[in-house]
Amino acid sequence: MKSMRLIALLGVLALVAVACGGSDTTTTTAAAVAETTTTTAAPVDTPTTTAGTTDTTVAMADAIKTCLVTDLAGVDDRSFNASAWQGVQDAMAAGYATEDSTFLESSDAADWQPNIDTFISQGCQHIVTVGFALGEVTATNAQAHPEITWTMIDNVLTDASFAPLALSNVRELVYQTDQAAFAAGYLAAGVSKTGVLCTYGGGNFPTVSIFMDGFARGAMHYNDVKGTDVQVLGWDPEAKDGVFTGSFTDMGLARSTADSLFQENCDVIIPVGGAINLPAGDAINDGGLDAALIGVDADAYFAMDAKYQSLWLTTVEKAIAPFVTLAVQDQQEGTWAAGSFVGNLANDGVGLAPYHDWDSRVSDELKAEVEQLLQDIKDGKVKADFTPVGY
Amino acid sequence: MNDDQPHLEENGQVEPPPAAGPHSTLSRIVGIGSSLRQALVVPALAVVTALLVGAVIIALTDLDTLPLWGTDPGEAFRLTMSGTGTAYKALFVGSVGSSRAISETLFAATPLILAGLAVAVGFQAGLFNIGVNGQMHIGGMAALWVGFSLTLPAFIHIPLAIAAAIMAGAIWAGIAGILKARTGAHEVITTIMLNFVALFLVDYLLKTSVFQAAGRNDPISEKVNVTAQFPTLVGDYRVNIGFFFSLLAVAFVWWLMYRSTIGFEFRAVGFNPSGGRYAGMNVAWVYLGVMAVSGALAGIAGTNPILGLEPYRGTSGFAGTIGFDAIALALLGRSHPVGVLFAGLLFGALRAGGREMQGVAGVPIDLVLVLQALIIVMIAAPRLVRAIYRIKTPDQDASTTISTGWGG
Repeated sequence: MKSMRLIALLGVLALVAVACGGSDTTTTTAAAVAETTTTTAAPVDTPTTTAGTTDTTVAMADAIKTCLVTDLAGVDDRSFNASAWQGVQDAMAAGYATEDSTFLESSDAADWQPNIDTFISQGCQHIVTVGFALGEVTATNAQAHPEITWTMIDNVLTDASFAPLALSNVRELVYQTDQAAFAAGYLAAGVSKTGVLCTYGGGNFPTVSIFMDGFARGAMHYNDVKGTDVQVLGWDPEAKDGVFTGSFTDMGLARSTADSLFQENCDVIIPVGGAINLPAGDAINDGGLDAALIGVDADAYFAMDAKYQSLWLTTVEKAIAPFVTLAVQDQQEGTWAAGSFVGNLANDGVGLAPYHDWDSRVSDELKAEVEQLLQDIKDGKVKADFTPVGY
Repeated sequence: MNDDQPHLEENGQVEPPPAAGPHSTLSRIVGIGSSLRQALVVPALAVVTALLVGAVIIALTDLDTLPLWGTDPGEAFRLTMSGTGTAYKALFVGSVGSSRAISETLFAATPLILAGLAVAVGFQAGLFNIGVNGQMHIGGMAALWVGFSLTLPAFIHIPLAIAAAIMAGAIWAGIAGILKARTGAHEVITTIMLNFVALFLVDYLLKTSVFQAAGRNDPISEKVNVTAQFPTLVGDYRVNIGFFFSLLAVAFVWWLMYRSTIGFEFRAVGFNPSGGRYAGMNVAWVYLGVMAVSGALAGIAGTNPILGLEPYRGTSGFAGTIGFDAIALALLGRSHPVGVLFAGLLFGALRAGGREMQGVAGVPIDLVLVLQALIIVMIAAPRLVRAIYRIKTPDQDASTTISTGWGG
């Protein structure tokens, strides 16, 4: 009997372990994925912007079978995998992609090659790979399969020694995120009552730290303009290092990180890395703090749970979905070109989301200043991009 | 071990010296007790039951068909059957349906078997090594360093990289072993915690100039030299010599546990630490030895995601969740090396087939995790399986004893 109970306990332990290892699908809903359609930024950096009116003439027969491989976060990550798949779905809805366009999730690095193999054997004409972790495997397969077009997100083609590589069948979508994050940092500095802003990331990867870097530099710009002394905790632009939880899934660690930053009087926080910003929202709600969150990627006001809605000051948006849709559209219309497509403020590839519930708490003066700053960055009058995207 | 001595069986019961006969011969050859059929019946039924429950889950999550049950049950039944049929056919085809599928199954099974052996050795000695995941990472890092920093002929380079992984894994697990032997700190706690230490140590090391690839700002290592990469067995299929290493490890663990004095001590202490002490065994040192062997096996398992997987680099958390899957796998394999081998092949087949199932039938790969979890529930509650299939409970509740001594 004793051994029975023991084994049952072990079984539970094993289950917990198995559950911990799996992707966290319980906290996400299909609705959240659908809501990401509210990312309305329309890319203009393209010769085919007039296509909007020609939708009705699109011939379904020419639609491109588009297949997407996610990284480890899975397709319902409320972040860039979800946005990328949304882009494919939008392309399906518009008739650019075939109805049997599909996605495959990866549970570890050993899945990438077989997932791509599966798509090749299924006759996919266009394969989208999400995340810089898939960069190398995409490059290898794109060279082996020149008949397939490839779109990679958040990564620039490199060879095995990470030297730049140009392939005629690969389009790279990268984002000058720090331009928008810079404006968000300025905005946060203007909103903050304590004069302390903060940030943390899931890991010190270029696609994460570019948000933190832009945010910190934007706050410093505010200090330069206003002569204030707003502090930014969690990122040092000189050292290129800051506060990282080391995990994009460990919510407990994110919570304690956020708690300790709030202890330091921080009242505007921008956590970078998918859903690890929600524990910061819990910290604000639980502690009854007067603090704001800034979201990343897709407008968090819609992408995240309703109980956090009043906390979002804004979101530093990356227009992943429209750029993916465009990649399919260009192929379908025969205007496809290879190379790296950089999303920036000028082509609405990055931007700031509306203030939503915080609208009344941002002074009109500050709103105007942020508008002007965005325009100045766009015009090149203010330098906001300090991180080269890609390698 | 002398055959005249009492024979410690897989089921943990001390039996009299085996008499001549088919059972005893079998028992002596494979180390499985005379109740071989009984030992297999629960795991086999557990797998079957899990697949049946999985089919129900596939049916229940088919949102297009569900409303049909109200209006046209016949059509709904047909759609459900064909949907589940497609999914399980894909699971079958993706795991054993072609030579490439078999290669993928063996490729996925390789680290699972090794990690499962690591857990099983601990179980047999009454130790719960939950830290296989961390030991895999540490072992893998050692193999990685040997792999990219040295230039040697392959027939030296690969064994050297594996030896480094064995050492590193054994030392890492040995920390928990020493803590248990010296202070009585429970290995469940220490190994779980050391997993976190290992993960963050890997993240840290990958950002140091020793490991980090030139020109990169993220945690990714240099590429392992071609001489340390596991050669594939057939053409461009991914199954590689790592699979042979896992078979060798199965043979070694069988020999160690059932044919060597050390293994006898391991199992004796696992069966009853007080008895072991009374028999003159140094239980503290046995614990340390068990953890070291377990960690060494985990270390070898950790070489596979580095030396056997494109692009042959270390990345953050490269060993995934294999170390945790291995706990389930060792339970399914009843901590016997041959059982672990087959459980590993089954889990590998689920991994490979699960991908096909996702691609062809649109069933999320997470279903594979559900299947694995269901199998473990059935294994953990053998009475449930016996009740479902109305199997008589044997006189001695023998084959369920996987390990003894929580807190021992």
